[in-house]
Amino acid sequence: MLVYHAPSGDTHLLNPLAAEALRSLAAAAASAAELTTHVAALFDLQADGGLLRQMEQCLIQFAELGLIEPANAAEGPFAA
Amino acid sequence: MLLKDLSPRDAAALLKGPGVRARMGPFVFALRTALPELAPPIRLLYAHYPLEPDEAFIDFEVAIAPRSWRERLIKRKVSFIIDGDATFDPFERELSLPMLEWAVNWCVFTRPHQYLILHSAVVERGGFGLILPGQPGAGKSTLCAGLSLRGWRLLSDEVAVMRPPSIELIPVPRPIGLKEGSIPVIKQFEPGVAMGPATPGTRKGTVAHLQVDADAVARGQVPATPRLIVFPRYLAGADLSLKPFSKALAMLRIGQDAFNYSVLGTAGFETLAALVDAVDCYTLTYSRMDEAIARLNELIGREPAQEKSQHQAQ
Repeated sequence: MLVYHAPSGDTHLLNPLAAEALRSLAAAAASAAELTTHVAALFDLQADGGLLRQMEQCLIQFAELGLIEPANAAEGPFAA
Repeated sequence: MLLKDLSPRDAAALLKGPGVRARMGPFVFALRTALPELAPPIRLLYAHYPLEPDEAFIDFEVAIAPRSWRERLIKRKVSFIIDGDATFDPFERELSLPMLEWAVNWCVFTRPHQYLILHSAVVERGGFGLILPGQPGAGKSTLCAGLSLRGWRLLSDEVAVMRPPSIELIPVPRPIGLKEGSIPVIKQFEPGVAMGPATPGTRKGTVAHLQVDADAVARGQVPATPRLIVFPRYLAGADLSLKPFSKALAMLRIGQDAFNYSVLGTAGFETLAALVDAVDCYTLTYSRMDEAIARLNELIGREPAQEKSQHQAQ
């Protein structure tokens, strides 16, 4: 899937897991654990530690690219 | 009146004076030069263009001239001057013809941002457009020339032009530029083809241009509906190979190579996504042009597959 980020003007190519994670986040905020459960069910994958780490990486990259921001600064993935 | 209807002498006088005014798709150019050696090739390459009336609005004026007596007599160089702007570096007078073509292309590549301008050749058959993107050296101009000599209409060998949000392909008919080995290939492919003089020593080696045929000029205001994007690759001795190509990757590649995709922002993304959605994408490796053309003839007549790319603007 391709995503256009208007503020930066960048176009990103996402793999199917990342694409689904972003689509889900566009609908509603979710934690890495919630995303793991969601994509595991959708793609028929094991919701294990590997997938959780992948989702965490996704969130970090999305945030670095400016595609997402913490829904609640106190609870978000980058909470102190 | 067409440019070819002028005598060589009158054509030279027009170039030296107010300029040859020719419409290339949406744009009217005035080509001006007092260099006598440029008159015959310009008269040949643009033979079929109607001369626009004196009162026509001119989008771009491209002149080739020395900027000073010093440049003319001592350095023996000339410059091009676009709409009065002479800030480009001067070049050897021998390179004037390819530099004139380059200057006209530069205007199309860099100025009209109401259009989305992709770096591709575009040809049409039966109303349907075939877009041939390609890195320099991939053979897009050669294949484009071959197709245009076998019944396809030339829209452009350099730019795919759309006016967002429309994805109709707008022609900008211009002489096809051929490099190095492509020149004898096309001469052999179509003996007697109207080709301008070959100019050695350009940054791209020896280059020559094909005359724009009468049909491409006459239908210069008729757009084409996009049907196919084919990434061509000439590979000596290779068997013909046509493979479906990912729409997402096609869009990324074309966007990266485009002249103003990033200038247009969301409109550029939406238009390019709509374009890629509307066509089938392939890669084509070939070594025998007739074979490649036969395959593309067959492909353009087919109903498009219904695969949709997935895209969204955030």
